Amino acid sequence: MQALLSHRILATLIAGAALTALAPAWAEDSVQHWLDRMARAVESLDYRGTLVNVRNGEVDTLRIIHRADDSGVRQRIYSVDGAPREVLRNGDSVRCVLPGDEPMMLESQLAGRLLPSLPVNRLLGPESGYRMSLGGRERVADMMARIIHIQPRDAYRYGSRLWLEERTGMLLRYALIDHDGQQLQQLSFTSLDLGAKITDAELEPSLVGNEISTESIDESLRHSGSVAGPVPIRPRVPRGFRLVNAGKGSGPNGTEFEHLLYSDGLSSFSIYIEQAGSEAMAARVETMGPVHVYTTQGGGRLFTVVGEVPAATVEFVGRQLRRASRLPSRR
Amino acid sequence: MTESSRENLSSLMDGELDRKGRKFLLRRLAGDADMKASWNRLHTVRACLHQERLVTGDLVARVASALEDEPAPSRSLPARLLRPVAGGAIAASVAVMAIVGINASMLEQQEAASPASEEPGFVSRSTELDKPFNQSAVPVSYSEERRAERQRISGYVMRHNQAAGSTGFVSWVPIITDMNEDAAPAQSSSVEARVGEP
Repeated sequence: MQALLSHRILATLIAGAALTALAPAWAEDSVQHWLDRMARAVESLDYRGTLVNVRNGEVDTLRIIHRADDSGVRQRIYSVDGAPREVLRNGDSVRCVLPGDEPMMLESQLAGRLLPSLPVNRLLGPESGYRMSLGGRERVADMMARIIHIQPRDAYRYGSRLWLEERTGMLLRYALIDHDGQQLQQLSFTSLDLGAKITDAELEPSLVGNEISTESIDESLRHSGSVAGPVPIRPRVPRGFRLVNAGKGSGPNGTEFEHLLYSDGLSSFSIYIEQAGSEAMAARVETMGPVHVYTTQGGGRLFTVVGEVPAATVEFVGRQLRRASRLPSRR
Repeated sequence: MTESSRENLSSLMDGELDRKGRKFLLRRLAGDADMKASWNRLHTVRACLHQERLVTGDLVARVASALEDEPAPSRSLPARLLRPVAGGAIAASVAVMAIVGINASMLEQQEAASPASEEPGFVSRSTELDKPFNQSAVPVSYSEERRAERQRISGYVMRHNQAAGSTGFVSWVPIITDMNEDAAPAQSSSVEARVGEP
């Protein structure tokens, strides 16, 4: 009897412990659910809205028009203030009109995305680079939103706070935060017409007649999961990042490059490898908001590391590439 | 050269000297060939450590990125955040570093003038300090090259965004918002090129 009782107590204790252990898993489950909803909503809904982007005390106002139907996704984002700038997405093709004394238009084509939308299941494990939690509710652009917190566990990736519309999961506000919890950027809808009827005319570019130089990149990457093929270089990368895809493409003047895509499930960066020019060039980092670009040379090749990751990450990878390209291959 | 002078040089390089100490050391440096040689050596060593071989374009950006290299990546401020700082505090020390190779008389002018207005002149001028890692002068078609470079990088960012396809519109915003600012330096560099033409 005594033994039976103690068994029962033990069982209760174990069940209790299991429940306690499951509680964060439930929370993360619902985070995963919210993130999946967001990914779907952002791509598949029709909407028209005004976005305000605040970074470094600078404010930019943008208009976004998005339509998804049988013929695919069409999206137009353009600046309302400052020099006219515009990004147009039409299925697999993206066109970007950049200002300057000679405005230029860049075009990039890629057959489909190369990352599964949000492989959050891998993110939520103990080896995940992030801590995720469900936050409170807040009103954004006249809609009720649920807040999701995504904190990075190290300085090699950014985290974010997401305000997701309760009914659809649509992203209403986005704050980019670094490892120290500092807010680097905030992007918020001030008005959003969800389920709007979008006409073809609205999706037409307004910036035409400019001098145009096109860039065609048409060779797509190999399909996800078939990375087994020979990869030109395998540098050491920060913990959690994995090579998810590799492929080839060609740039504006026919320069061929190799493209390696790395991801930790949420953040990603690309390595581009091409033939180096004759001139020596110093390694350097460039910044486009949260996007960092590291360019370096080694072994007659030019490496460009690009991603919405901290400068530390692209530098880490760039240095490894530089080192690896100098050393004779050991295997 | 004594150990303390060497230490002083190193502090000067790291921007740890106060204004008075800096001025004093710069005067000494201008007249002392031995000290000047060690200053150049220090810079070569530093450049090697940072794997730099040649100065391209924006000295301030290079210094900012070098500064980012310094601590382990526990606190990674984007280079952009450093830019306003670079305009003031860093620029002052950059300007101070650049002067040494020229002569002591320019030091007086520099002290009087604001760092911001002096900076571009020093950046484009090849000083004695630049020699260890500066192998070629900035080509005439600088803006042309910059343009091609911008095009190359923008193309890569676009392709990366397509490939990664992160949160829909969010990843496209930096391309739009940052091109506004990037237009300014591109324009100013082409203006400089025109001024230089006969």
